[in-house]
Amino acid sequence: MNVSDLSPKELSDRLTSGSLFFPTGPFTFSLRTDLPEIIDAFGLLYGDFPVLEPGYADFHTSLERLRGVKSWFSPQGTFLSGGVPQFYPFPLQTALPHLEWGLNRCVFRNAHNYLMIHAAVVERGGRALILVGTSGSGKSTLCAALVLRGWRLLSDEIALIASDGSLAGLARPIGLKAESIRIIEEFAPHACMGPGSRGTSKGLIAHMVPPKESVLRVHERARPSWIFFVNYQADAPVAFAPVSKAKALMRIADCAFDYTLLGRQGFEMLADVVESTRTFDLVYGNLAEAVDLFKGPDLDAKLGAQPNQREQLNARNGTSRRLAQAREDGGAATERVVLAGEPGARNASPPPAEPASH
Amino acid sequence: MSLAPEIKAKARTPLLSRRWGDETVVYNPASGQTHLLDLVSGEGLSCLQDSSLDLGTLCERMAGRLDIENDAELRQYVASLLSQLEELGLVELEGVS
Repeated sequence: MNVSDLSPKELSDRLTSGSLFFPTGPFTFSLRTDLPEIIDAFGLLYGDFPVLEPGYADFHTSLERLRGVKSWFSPQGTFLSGGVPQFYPFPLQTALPHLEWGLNRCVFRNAHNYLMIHAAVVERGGRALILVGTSGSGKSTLCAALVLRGWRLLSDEIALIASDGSLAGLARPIGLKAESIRIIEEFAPHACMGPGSRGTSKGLIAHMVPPKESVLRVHERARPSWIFFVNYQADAPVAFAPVSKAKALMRIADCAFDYTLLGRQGFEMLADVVESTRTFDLVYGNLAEAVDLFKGPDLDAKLGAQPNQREQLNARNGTSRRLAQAREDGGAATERVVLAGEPGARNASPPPAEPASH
Repeated sequence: MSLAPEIKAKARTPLLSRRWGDETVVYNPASGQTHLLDLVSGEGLSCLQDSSLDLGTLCERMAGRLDIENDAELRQYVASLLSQLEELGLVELEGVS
């Protein structure tokens, strides 16, 4: 039975009593809320999600209206996991985004049997495309567009890398900010969007309903194949350029939730992922053009020669040239030696208080 | 920078590293830090992972591996490199009083 099979009253009863249990990828959540607007939105956004019988859950969550003097003037809400508030009180009108951020927070604060990267992941033919980007980079917009063009959604916020190197699915609604909402609605007028929430720290937020197929196939893992560091720039033509594997590792370590916590295992896992993928910078200013890059089965051909091959060539040719160059520069070789030991050494990748692109 | 001839350098262990092309990333479990090294510094650290070496021997090995001349300039270059690697906690100097 799916959420959409429940009548509005059954859904409301389950949510109000805290007996709504549902899986998202490898995790089971229970949710309790009596907020009517959340009950309606949950029915829409999670319609294709299975409903589980009450029992075990990895995370017991609730979304509540706070009682108190302040709430008389400005209604406040709170999101709890295991009875513990996960955020400071927030305006009640932002309850839906806080539900989504809260569910993410449950995962990235606890699921350390995975290496977790702040990234969107889509899959085709068993191969995963990982989109890395900071807030406003266009990562989620591109993810939503690719999903609307046939790629399967694994996650729009957290790449879950298992110990065997595969990527686990965490298909949930895709959070979009104001401008992205408009762009996606223009790109795909049939896209099913949930209600918008104003007044968040990111402005207007709405969520796109994940495709049914992505929800049904959430347990199918994918192998990492491509990593793109996404950078939206208004009006820029689509352009991509290889990123060396070493630099890619350093960048990803910076946006991993638990790289530092996992220690040597985190390093080995991340190095294996980088080893097995092709890594690129991607700049785009037009969504349709960017999606075209990922259209068709010949992505590898479009991307050109393997960066590995280029790196090997550079290695063979670069040594003498590098020191010769250093000498030409007046012996200022020292500055050229250690590229990133300091001050950019990665000693900690503190997980953002909230996923940055929410 | 000068380095007394009796001083030997050795990579701290155990360091984890991966090399791709002319770049190496090194993870230091002791500090939890990850470092990105270019070709020359990566090669230098690699030499020091096998055994502890004095400056002269290290320069000799690096010159051989990198196919470059072992001259005064390289010696100065490597001495400075050692200082940086030590500061990062990637190598330790033995025989420093």
